[in-house]
Amino acid sequence: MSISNNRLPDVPFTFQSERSHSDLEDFIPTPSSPRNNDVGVFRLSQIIISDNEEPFIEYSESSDEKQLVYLNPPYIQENDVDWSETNKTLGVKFKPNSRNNLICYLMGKAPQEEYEEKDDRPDDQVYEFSPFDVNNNRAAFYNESFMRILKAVECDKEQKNPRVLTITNLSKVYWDYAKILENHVEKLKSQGKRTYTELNTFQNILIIWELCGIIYINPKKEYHEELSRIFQNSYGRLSKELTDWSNKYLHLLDPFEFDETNFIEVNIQNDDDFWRCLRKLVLRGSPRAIDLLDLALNNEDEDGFVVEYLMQIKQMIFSRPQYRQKEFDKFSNFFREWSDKIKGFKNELLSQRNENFPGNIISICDILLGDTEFILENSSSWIEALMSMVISHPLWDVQVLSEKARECLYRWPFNKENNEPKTLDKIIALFFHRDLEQGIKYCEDIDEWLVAHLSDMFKKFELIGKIRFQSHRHIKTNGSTTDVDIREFSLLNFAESFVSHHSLWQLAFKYFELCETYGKSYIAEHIVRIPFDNERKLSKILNICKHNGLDFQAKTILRIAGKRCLQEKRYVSSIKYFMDAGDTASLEVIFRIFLDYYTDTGDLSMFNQLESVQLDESSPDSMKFLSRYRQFHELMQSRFYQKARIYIMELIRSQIAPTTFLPVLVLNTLPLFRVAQQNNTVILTNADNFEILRNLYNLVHGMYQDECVNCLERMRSWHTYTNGYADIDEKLSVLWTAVNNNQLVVYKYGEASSSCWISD
Amino acid sequence: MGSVNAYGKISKVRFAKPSQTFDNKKILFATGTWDEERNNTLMLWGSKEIPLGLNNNHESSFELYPVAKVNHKGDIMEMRFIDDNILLTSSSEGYFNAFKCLPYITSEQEDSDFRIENYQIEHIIAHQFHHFSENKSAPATGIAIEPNSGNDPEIVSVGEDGRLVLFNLSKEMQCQIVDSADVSGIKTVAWPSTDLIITIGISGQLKLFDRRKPGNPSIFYDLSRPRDTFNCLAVNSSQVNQIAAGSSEGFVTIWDIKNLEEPVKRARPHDIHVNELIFHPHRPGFLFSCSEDGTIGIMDFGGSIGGNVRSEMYRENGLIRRYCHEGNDIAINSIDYNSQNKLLIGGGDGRNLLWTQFE
Repeated sequence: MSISNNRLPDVPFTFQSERSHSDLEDFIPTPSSPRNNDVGVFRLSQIIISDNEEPFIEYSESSDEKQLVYLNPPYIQENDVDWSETNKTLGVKFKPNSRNNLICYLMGKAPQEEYEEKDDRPDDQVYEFSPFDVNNNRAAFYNESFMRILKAVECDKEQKNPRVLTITNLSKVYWDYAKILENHVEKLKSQGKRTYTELNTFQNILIIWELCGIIYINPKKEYHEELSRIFQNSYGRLSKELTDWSNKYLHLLDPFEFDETNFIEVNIQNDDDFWRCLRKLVLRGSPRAIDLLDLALNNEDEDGFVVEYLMQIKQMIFSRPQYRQKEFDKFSNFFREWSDKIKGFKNELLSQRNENFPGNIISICDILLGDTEFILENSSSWIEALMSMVISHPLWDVQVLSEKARECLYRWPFNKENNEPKTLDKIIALFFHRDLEQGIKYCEDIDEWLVAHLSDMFKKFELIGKIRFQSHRHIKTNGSTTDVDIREFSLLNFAESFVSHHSLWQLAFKYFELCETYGKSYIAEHIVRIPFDNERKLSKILNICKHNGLDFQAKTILRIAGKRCLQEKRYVSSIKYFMDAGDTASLEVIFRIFLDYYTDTGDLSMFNQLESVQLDESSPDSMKFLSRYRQFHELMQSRFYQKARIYIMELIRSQIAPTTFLPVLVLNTLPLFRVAQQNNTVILTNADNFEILRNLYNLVHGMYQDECVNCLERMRSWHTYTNGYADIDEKLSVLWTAVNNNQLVVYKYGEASSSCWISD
Repeated sequence: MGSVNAYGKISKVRFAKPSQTFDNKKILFATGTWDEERNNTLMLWGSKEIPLGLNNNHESSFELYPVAKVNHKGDIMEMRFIDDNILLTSSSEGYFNAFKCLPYITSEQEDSDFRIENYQIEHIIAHQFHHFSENKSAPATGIAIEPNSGNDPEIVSVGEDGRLVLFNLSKEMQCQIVDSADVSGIKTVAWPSTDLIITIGISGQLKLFDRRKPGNPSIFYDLSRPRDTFNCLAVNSSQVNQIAAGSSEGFVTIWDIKNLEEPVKRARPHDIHVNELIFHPHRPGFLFSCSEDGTIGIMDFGGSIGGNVRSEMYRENGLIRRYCHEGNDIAINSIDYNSQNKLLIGGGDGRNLLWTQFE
């Protein structure tokens, strides 16, 4: 069974019973698992992530592939939802992202039949996980290369610098990349067989990186430097650098191995293997050609004239003119002289009667002279032929190089049957063709790092811009193309794979920040999906939001943090997070929890937690109410009755408390009446009396009768004489009387008679 | 600044006590990682000064190399060395751990990256002090050691559950627990003098617990910046009344614990989140800080602390210096300074250890 990657079905479940593992419901955490509470562990035993033409999730019952996916942070069951008594379901949705990672959404949803597809708006807990891992070596490499990309950004930003300086600095950064790639390859080599695949990948990256540097980056630098120095010829550089490149990597691209010991006692005149081998080495410009000739020359049995010819060939190869900068004229003359010498030697050989031996030497001369036809005939691959030509023609420029590459590829066409090129071969050909965009696109098959960083450097050198870009991987599935900035597309694509990585996620956002057009929207989309299970990580996630001005996302994350704390009954932390998120609705929930707790228990200890909450004018009313209510009780305990009166009346008049709490507030005034009566003074004013009476009437006879009965019933449990409280009904009637008495006292003595002993 | 691969995202770096090393040119330090899922590690490193002339820079240089490694359950949230080669850690899974760093004779070298130089790390104590509920652990966030104590000092462990647990290493099962020391949860703790313990809660306030006066601790924060929250604390070992606190908005404030009405000095070495602070052990008024912005700050508060000087003046007077490695803007989570070799090291989310020399 396969499921389209565009849309996965929603998989609702409840905790009521075990389900058949016959469908995707296998995602469901089984209630019978030994760690019953740890429903954050999902068994993906039948899920295979396929990486064929299009990413999809395949279900296979017989598969041995097993993967446990740990949700981090673990799933926390909501305490306020009793799943067994509701037909509501806990929804789980897995959705692959563009990087073949799975995004997992958990949410409370209506029953399946009523459920409609909604936007992928982050809900309570959103998880993303990657089935792939990044080893520590690679992680260190990524961080190191990120430093280089920062340097490149810095070079590019320095607008004051003349372009020549910018190009020079950028060129340094480009070759710095090459150095870290080379170091990484060396490190992988030292780690032996276990890193073979990784080594292969990085060797390929290095080959492409250096080649592009030689063909595209160095000429750019050269061009700008030439302009600044008026004009200085630097012909020959390309050939020299490509020769070095070929010497380093041709054996990897087109392996050629031979055993020198086979030629220790060889009859050179008649040994075809020896000449084939020598031809190959000369074609490849390999220094080993000299070694092989030395081996033959050591063979004392050879005739004198043979030795003489071999000495001459050796001398010719050895004296091949090497390009030296700033010596173009000298070099040009020297090269002509050298070529003339070989031509003369070849003519001399042509007059020889012995067909075999001179024929072999002539073939060496043809290679040294760069005879295109001969080279094409005798090479085993297009790259070998091209390199041979490049070595023999030190004055070629990139334009000629491109034409010659075409010629070579014409001889070894990629589409020929049974000659399917290796990816690397194809990419190198595209770069020789000067087809940068296609080359970059095919680099996807080597590594995304290469695509991202190569396109970043190319963009900075103004080699690429916006193109109609379409990943060749997606051609079959998605026919549309759009104009995109290839650099940004590649960087975003590369960085997106880190989002789901447990440790490299920060790097993803650092890369997104480098993308001016879409970077911010990528950060906004992904930052809310980063799981966190401690304050440190939360604070780092919030810092990313803050740094990028993502207020809405920061608030979403704070809300998630607040909800989690609320589930764990960490009320103060949840208040802090909800306040920072501006989530008044959730604060209202906590507000009611506090009030309910007091109504049910008469215990004020919960309110003491509010000491750690910093409030100011702009804080939500519900929190200010709780804080004031706590202060009211503190004032009562400290016998600051006048201030306590102000606070309690302010709380009653504010109408912030739900009507279910109103009886508690009204009854809280009773001690004030008692104190006033005992001390024969007035605390509550006429207006206070009126307010209390109005509320009392509403509670006992008016519109809040039900709430009152309910509330009194809840308070009854702790209103016992053993607890030091009077019966709740009695308390209510006492309050009626106290209010009436107070009215008389206020009438008799006036409101100003508050006695001075109450020291507020 | 020098840099070496740290084999993970570093949450803490700590130098071993000088007495632990036999050769004064050779220094031991430990690093702890975070956010590495099930692969968090505690590593012991050696550091050796390369004599002048053997390096190309005509400056003294250091070679940092790992000498031992052990897996750590959960992120390392805090790490402290105490005498006798004991390394204490706090884990995000609620555990207080103690490890013994022991020299040993055989050196089988399995991983070519590791130059094992006769050290091994032995896990000797693991105790889960912190949890939100019976089934859910809470990250242990901080450890502080009683100052000027003997061989078996009292230790305090704090966590996001708001608990403050006091115990001795020799009898960690007999502990004194303050259940709701800070109901918002505790980020970090410092122990400036025998009777005073200071914590920073998740709400960002400082709380001072005076063991001589049981009851409510005193709460204080920077009144001029009430919305700014504190993240880290440092105690000046040469002036016990002096503490420093780093904030979310990049401020560093110096406080006199005898008068906590307002900070005595304030500076802003960073633009965002200060992750850790340390006092220079010998230069009064010198502080090192590291931040989420990827830099290390060095502040000179001019010796004797007193009088209020505005942070801008510090910047103008050049009393703040910021160190940065190759334009790095990846967070540096922890720093430590070894006065013997004048070596300052830092580690963070860039998976590398940064080092520089500072007089």
